[in-house]
Amino acid sequence: MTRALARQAGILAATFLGLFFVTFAIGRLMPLDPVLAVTGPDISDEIYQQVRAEMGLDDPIIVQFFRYTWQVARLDFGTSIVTRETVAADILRVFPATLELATAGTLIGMLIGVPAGIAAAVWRGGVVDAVVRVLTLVGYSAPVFWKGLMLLLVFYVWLGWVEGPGRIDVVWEGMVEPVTGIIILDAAMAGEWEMVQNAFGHLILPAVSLGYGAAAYIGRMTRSFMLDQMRQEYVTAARAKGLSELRIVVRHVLPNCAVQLITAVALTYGLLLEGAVLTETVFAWPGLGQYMTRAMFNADMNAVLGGTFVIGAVFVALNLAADTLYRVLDPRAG
Amino acid sequence: MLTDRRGFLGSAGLLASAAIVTRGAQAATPRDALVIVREISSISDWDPAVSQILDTNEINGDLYDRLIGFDPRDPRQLGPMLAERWDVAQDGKRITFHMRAGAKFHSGNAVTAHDVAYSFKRLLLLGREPSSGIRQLGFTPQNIDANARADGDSRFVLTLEERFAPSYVLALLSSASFSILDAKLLQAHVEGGDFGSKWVSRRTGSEPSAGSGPYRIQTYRASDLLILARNDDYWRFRPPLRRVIFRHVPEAGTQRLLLERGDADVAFNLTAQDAEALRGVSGVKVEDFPSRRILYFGFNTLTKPFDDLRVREAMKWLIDYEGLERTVMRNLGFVHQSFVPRGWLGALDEKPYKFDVNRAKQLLTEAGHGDGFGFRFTAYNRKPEMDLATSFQATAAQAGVRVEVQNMPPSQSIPLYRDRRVEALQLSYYGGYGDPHATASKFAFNPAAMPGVDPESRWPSELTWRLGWAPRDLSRRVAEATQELDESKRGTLYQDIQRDARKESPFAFMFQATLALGMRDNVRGYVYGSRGADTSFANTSKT
Repeated sequence: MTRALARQAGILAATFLGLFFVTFAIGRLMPLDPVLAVTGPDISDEIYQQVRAEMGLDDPIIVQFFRYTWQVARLDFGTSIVTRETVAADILRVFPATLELATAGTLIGMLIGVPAGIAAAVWRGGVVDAVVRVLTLVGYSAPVFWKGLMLLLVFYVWLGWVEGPGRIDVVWEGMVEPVTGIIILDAAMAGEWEMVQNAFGHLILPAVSLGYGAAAYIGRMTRSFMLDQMRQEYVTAARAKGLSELRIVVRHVLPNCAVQLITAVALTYGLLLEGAVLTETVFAWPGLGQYMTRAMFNADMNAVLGGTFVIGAVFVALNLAADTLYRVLDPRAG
Repeated sequence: MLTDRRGFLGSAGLLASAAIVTRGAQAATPRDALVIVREISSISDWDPAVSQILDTNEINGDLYDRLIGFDPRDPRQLGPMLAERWDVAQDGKRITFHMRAGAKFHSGNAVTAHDVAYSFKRLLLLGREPSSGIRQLGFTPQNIDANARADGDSRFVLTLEERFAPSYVLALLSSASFSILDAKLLQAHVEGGDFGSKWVSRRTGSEPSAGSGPYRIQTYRASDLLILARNDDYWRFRPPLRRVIFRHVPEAGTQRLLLERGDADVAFNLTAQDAEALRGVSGVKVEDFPSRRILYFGFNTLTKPFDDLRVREAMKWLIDYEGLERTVMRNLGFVHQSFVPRGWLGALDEKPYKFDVNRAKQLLTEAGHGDGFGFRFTAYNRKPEMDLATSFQATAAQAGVRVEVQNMPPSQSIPLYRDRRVEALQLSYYGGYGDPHATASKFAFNPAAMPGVDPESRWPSELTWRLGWAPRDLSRRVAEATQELDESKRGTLYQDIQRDARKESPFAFMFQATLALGMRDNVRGYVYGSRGADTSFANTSKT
């Protein structure tokens, strides 16, 4: 156990170091100029050089690397040139929005994808399978942008069932002091139930939009895992014993798919936590995806590096969580 | 299996019912607030002496006052603002501004001539992009104290080393760069000689801001939300709306839906198609405002064959101006083939160029390129710019010119442009203040071409230098035009400069942009002007 933990810690350290090297190198190789991002384009050479020196970009690359390493070791990612806030403060502001959306999206993906995948596998080749396959194909292939706008048009503009883009109505802005940054939780903790309802109303469409894509992936994976298991001899043996199909699926096949399913769900969750740029853009959701995209377009390297680190950390944490769950579910593992 | 189906349907049903109960009554914005949906991610720095970003300037226009400016209740004429009146000396070299009594900053501090002197000094010494105007007026770190000084609390004296046309100086002083900031407040927040810039730049709310304008920042979250609160003690009038709320909504289609639904009062970044579609929607109106943005193509004279003016001119005959105006630029702009925007002193309405392949071929043959040639064309990676580049690619091909379009964001193309490493590009330019010199100084003037200046010196801030064009005669004439005291003669000078620059200029001017603002039909008094400082929401109301 100690050896396994040490191995995990080693992998973790190597992952972060690799991530660190790559992001630092990308920052230096990108054909963008962080000085002009600060000064604006129409600046004299003299001021350009002055700001470049102030930003420490005149120093040899190795000095910059060690300086940055030292900063990051103290969990200081520097200041964003776009927001003028520390990158840590920015990430604390935008990440809860992404966390809220990704969690809701993954839940929807699981709630729809897993049962749909099971049904498709059980009735393989039948109507249910065909419907699931068509729906998952649409989920995969319809552009996120189009899906988002269509959802808004139908459920927000035409039917008026849900709230529109953004995380909350402007009237609620500033009503509750952020604690977790997740508006629904913060409002609930403050006892503002109308605000909870409003925030929930805003979350539904982007979560469904993301969740549909997630359900398509999880559904296809579930179907494939189930079919793999259902070809196994133990299923034939169970059928020969006269067990009902329901019992075979629930008691025998599903538990054997669980480990693979956890991987699929963890992977989906990780991808959604990176920040779904297009969904965040369509639904004006101020999350990590928009933050990182803006940082990249503006050569805001501190923000890019900080954001990349957070995403890396999320992936590592999810992998660890998935590994731990494997061990719980499958005694043969680890 | 039945269980699975129930699970699926159950989830969907739960979701639908949850959705139904979450939506309250028909959407409407608060009566005392204006909700503007706009792409605000370009705002990075609130200091008017540091940021030249258009979005920041437009909002800062209602946070800070200038010595002179436009009254949003009647934005046609430039008039008194924090200066009640001013006297121009006979030789045009000295202007004395008499400060308005009773005007106060948001902090409660009185606005005095000392604040003006401090604001001008910090503008110059911070030395960022917005300082180009004050440097054009001849101010230097050595003469700023003596030449921009307070004479007591109520008089501010501006002494110019050279004579300048008062209309030019006053237009310049009305621009966002020359905003007057609260010196006492800034001095309390100075960090390492930065004139309080770091503090002003990072506005998140709650603290008093350094302006005296009709609104102040109440809440700001970068790329998310900006709430401005009314300055109840504004010296000019009490703005009708208590709050102005900017919500960052990057997608134009989403802005349109929010406006249609009534969750926004103003949609700022509509596409041409959205604007067209909204014109028929009840409860919504679309108003078109001319903007000061000039869209142009630039050809680098340092690269062959653009060193030949016949080739440069041929390019101007290969643009389908009228076709583009009807299609790509519909609702977005109109053909404008010179650099002074329509509505400004010295503007020209002439359209000497049209799409003419034969004319272009003839010029190319004369230049020895009858068989055509190829080049890389750098274009902004967004609409409508990408479409302009694609159209040019198609029309140029008719004359055998192979245009290889490379789309990229300005953060990538500007470093190349500054280093003179583009062959040709497509960009746009906003004049910083409502005077012809704002654009003439960029499109027909190169400091390296002026007498006494090393012709090899680097001027990466100048568009002409970036394209390797140093017209001696035109540069001299542009400088002289700022000194002409007779307004009518001055206008003629700029018209002549534009005509004479036309042939050899490496710039092909194509369109002046218009801005289609979508609004709820109960919104009144939103002013969006083409001269920069005449944009304001201070007099906006909702009926």
